[in-house]
Amino acid sequence: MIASSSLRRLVDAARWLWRWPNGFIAAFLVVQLLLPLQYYLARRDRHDERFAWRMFSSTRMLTCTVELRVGDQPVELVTEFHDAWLAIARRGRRAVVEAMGARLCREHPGTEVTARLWCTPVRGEPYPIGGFDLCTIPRL
Amino acid sequence: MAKPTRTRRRRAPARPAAAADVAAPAASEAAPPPPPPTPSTHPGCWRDVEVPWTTWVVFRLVFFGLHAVDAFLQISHAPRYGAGGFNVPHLPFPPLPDPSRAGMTFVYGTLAIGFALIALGVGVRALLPLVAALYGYAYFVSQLDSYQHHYLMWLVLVILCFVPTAPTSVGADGRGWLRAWALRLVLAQLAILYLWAAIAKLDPAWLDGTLLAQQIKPGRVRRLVAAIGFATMAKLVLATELALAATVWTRRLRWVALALGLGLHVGIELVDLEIGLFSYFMVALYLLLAPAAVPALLAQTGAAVIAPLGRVPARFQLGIAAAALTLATVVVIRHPLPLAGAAVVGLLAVAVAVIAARAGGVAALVRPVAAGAVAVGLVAILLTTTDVAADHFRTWAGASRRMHLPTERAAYQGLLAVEPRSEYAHYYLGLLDQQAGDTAAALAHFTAAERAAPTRTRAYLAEAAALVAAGRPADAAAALDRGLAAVPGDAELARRRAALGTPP
Repeated sequence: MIASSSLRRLVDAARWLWRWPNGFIAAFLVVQLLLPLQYYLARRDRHDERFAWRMFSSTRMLTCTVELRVGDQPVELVTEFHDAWLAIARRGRRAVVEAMGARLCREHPGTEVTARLWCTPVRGEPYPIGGFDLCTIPRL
Repeated sequence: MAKPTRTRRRRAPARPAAAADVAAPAASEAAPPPPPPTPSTHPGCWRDVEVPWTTWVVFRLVFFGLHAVDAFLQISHAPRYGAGGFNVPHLPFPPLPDPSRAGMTFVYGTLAIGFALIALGVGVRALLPLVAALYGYAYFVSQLDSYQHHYLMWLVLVILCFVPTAPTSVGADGRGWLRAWALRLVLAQLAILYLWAAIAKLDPAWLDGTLLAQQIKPGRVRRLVAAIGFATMAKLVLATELALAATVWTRRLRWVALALGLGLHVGIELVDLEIGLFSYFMVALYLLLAPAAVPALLAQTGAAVIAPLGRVPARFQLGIAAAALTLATVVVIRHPLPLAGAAVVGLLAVAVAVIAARAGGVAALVRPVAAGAVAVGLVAILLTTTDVAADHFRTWAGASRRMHLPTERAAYQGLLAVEPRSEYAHYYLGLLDQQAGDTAAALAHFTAAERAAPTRTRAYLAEAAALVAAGRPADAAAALDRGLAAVPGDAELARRRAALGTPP
């Protein structure tokens, strides 16, 4: 009897969700409530604050020096990538630096491409990122 | 947001989609007879967001008008897209067409015209999903645009697609009302934004005021915040965001949210954090919470301003609107920026709206044509009165030069087309001509650069170098003398002039 009434409630809830726009509203709210949580729980790159509503955060104030090398030679970044991309890389956004590395790997097959970032946060000690061959290990 | 009793209302009938948008007058839509009631399938708590139709019309005008201006301003950033063939999209899926300077200029131009048409109530049902999709493309195609407020605006645009395009009920006084779950969802989205923004501020660097102190520029506002205390103000901001998360989506506490929200966003704008039109967008969203009298007053004022036009015969109105639309379209199409495609899309949208309204006779055609004239005219006026086009070509040229791209010359020529006296364009075109071995063209550009900015020394130096290379030291000395006359005592000019000695 109890199982039957629970099942009925479940079916009613499913029907309610199926009716426009109930399911859309519910899905929208769930996604929007949980998506920013992904930044705190599962995001690989804490410098990447997209979709997390972290306005005016300390991460935004972080600055990194970015150096890419092909073999032993440093890459003149301003001739290779637009200033706007370099500004994003200087915020330590790994995905962008990795894409830069991937491009250099394609342009210089068989040569080691290394990216080194030295990031200075608002609080705490500066820390390094990378320093290995992005053609072998493409993720920072 | 006032919620009148059901006895005062009757449900407005459904109207044909396109005709509803086109025929709806801006400030005072006529109330058609009520249709038979239909059972609601909406969740109860989502149904009670109801605003006077006038409030919605004023909100639409302000919010989408701001979007039109914002989209136009983005044209200055279009050259960074696709430069050097490098791009990183926001998401791996779906695969989107690679962005380019010309493509993004088209997208932003089309958005500007589309938003302006929506602001004026033309083709809203068809246009809004299209511009929401285009806006989504512009945002998601590249991480170059990582502004969180653009992401927010995309979400809001998607939700607003579900707002009815005509009044949903009519009050006893004949005024239209709009009831929409989508409006509640917009407010809920704002609450989620405030909640997560507050959570992000639970950070020692925010709470002790360090971040705020670093981000507020020197000036009156900084002095005021310093007097209150950066740490105190930081905690007040956090408390305000939490309060907004709790109140902005609830009908009973809208007054609290209105006061707090306007205070927060006006304050952010005064601090000048270089976040574009974000504060303006947020203030526009708060129009949905404003007392009905405020939008009504704005609508009455607007109606009074355009009332004299209503006394002009419809045929004359249509003729004037068509002429203005033609003129604006010619200005946009002939502009050096690649905006012809956007103008054509705008004309097509107007044409569809005109076809939809043709049954109403000449008077019904005036509105879509006039709205088209305003929309395309807005772009034409902004093109001729702002630095957006010059900034577009200047940034394109700078990137092309630094990255050694073959587009460098085209960028300078584009800049000269919109700013014929650009010292920057003349100087670098002179250098390019000199590299290409065209000394005469190079000298002409250097001379033009000197005329455009007589106190900048680099054109005199470049002209002198070109003349020396051409075996004309006397002319080189004369160029340096002109430079020294314009900038007396300049060390580099004097050194080069001394090195030439007294030419024969």
